[in-house]
Amino acid sequence: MIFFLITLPGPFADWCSVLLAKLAEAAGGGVVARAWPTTAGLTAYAPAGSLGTTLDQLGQVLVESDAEHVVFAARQPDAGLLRALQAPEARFLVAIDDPTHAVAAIIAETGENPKRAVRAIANSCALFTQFAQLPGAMLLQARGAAEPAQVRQTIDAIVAHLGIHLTAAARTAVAQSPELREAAPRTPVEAPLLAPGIAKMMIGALGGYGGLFQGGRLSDIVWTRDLFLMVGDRSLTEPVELTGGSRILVFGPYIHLIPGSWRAKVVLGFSDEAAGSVFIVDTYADERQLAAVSMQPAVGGLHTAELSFSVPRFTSMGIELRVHVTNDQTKGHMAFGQVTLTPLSLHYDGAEVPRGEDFRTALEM
Amino acid sequence: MLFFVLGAPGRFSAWCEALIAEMAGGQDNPVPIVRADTLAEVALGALRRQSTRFVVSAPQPTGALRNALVAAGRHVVVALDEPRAALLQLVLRQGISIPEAVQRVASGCSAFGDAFEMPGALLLNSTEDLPGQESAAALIAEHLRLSLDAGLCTRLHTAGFRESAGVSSEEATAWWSTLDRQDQETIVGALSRYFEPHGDGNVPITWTHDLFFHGENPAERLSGPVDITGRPHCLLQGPFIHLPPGAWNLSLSLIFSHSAADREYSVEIATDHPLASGNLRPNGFGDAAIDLAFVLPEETHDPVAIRINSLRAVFDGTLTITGATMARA
Repeated sequence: MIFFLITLPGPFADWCSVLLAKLAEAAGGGVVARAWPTTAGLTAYAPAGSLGTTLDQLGQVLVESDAEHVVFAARQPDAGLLRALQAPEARFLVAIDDPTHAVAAIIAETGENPKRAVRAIANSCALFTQFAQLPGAMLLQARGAAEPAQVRQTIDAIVAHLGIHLTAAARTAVAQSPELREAAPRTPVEAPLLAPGIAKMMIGALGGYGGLFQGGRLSDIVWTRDLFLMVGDRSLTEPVELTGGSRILVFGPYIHLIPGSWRAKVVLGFSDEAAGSVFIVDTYADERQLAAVSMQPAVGGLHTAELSFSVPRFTSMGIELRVHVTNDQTKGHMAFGQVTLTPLSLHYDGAEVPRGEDFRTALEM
Repeated sequence: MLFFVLGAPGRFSAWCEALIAEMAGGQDNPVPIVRADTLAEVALGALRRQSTRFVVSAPQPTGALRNALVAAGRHVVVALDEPRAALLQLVLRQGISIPEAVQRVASGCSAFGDAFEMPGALLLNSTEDLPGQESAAALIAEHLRLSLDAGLCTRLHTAGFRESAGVSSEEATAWWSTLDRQDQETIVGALSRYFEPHGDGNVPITWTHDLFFHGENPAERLSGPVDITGRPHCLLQGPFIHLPPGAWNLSLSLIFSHSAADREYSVEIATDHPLASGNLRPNGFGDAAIDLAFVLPEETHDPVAIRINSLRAVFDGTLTITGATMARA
């Protein structure tokens, strides 16, 4: 049997994997467990699929192992897996933890650069929600599921959902197994314990998903300047020198968003010398321009560029936002503030709109 | 546990698969047989069945699947069917058109051509191993560490391979004589390289016109010359046949009608990625040719496609492929 777990990395995900492995073992036969991608793969700036697809990796496990059961934790699920798990008979688990805990876990475990860790988890969150809405998904909330008093109930629910034949005694044995107790999630590293800049970046990029994961709505997402890049890998904490001709000043952050319509507000600050110059702000997905806007600040100070765009399903590299200066003679400085992304209409329910329905809706028929 | 049977589509690989399914699951409960040429398809097979116990039938295994099998030290069975027998089976018993059957058999053979070697593989050949079904079954059982029970041996002896009707040599000869020259050239051009199991790797492969598809409708096979009228577009593509990995030279010969001759065309060859391209400008009415060198990586997933595109709007004209010949570089 294949036990699929869609999850963010972290202690709760590890606990869920151990639980599934114990249940599989109790059902009889050998078990092999795999989490994919690795933390290094997860945090790399690489196009989706360049490390192989989730199904390729599961296939690899099946070739390598003769185990009767495979427990597979997909930490950056993709389009191929979504199609496979849309099948009516598909049953799988979605382990829901606070995404900031996942970032903290990656940083604590590997010492990974916070920017890369936040980007990785933000990517996973956007992909993750599409799976959580599928009919075969069973959602496991970190708050509750792993608490000692709840473990047995969690096991009963999983066994019923996945159709595993296990006696009550076997379930109790799993609940009381030392391996499961040992894997119990410890108190996570809370965001306030991280440096203020990192906490702000993390809460901005991920905090919006908190409500969604608790059954509510996705709120605004804020990409702070720390998530963006400059040519020469210079820091955006200092104002950008505009002298130097027409070019791209800032780009990034290559983070996936839930497919649907979005509005982005890009806050930029200009020095007085930069007034009158023309700047272009645009967004891209997989080398396709989604939206562009030009602006000509009449005076120095804070200015906001607004873009509306539609995010296609499963982009390879996530969303890229760029700020260009178009005049060769531009002087002065630009400060990159942040990008606030507001979801307008999202397609994260996995449901296909029947052909024609969209026209009826649009025309109010 | 998964059991892998690699081999071009045909009676022999089907027989091996059915035999292993029965050895693994018993006569009353044979394990399922799942077609999967890629790692992802293996995964999908397991997901759909919620099982890790089935026979994987891989007639055109990708390089990634083969490499994974070798790296894992897997014991697999490679069932090499005689390409002519496989073709006859597809055309005469399954009613598949000649171009489609050629496409399938050639792709299957390519995976196992050119001194095929694979650690952990039990290589069985239909011409050598089929006559002694029981000994072939015993070899498979030993290689995959399965038990071959007496009942199965008896059934093999009494019924065995005769259950799936083969094509007699008389029937094959009669059928061949009914084919027109064009069909015969299509078959011989694409498959003769694979006629001898460990034959001369220098025999070129030639793909004829009817193995190709319309440029803007890759599901529709060409029949007759291609009308090239219209804005710049893909005129034809195909044949979507796998080739053994390595360095190749493509020599593409075409015939252009008079009105099509004074135009420029691009020719590209691609699999998962573009491999080579060039421009072609026929001089006057008649034949034109282009040579392209390319290297096919071991890990290639997609079959080979040659695409011919018009580069400017054309008001009239036709083109025909006289042959796309692939020779080892």
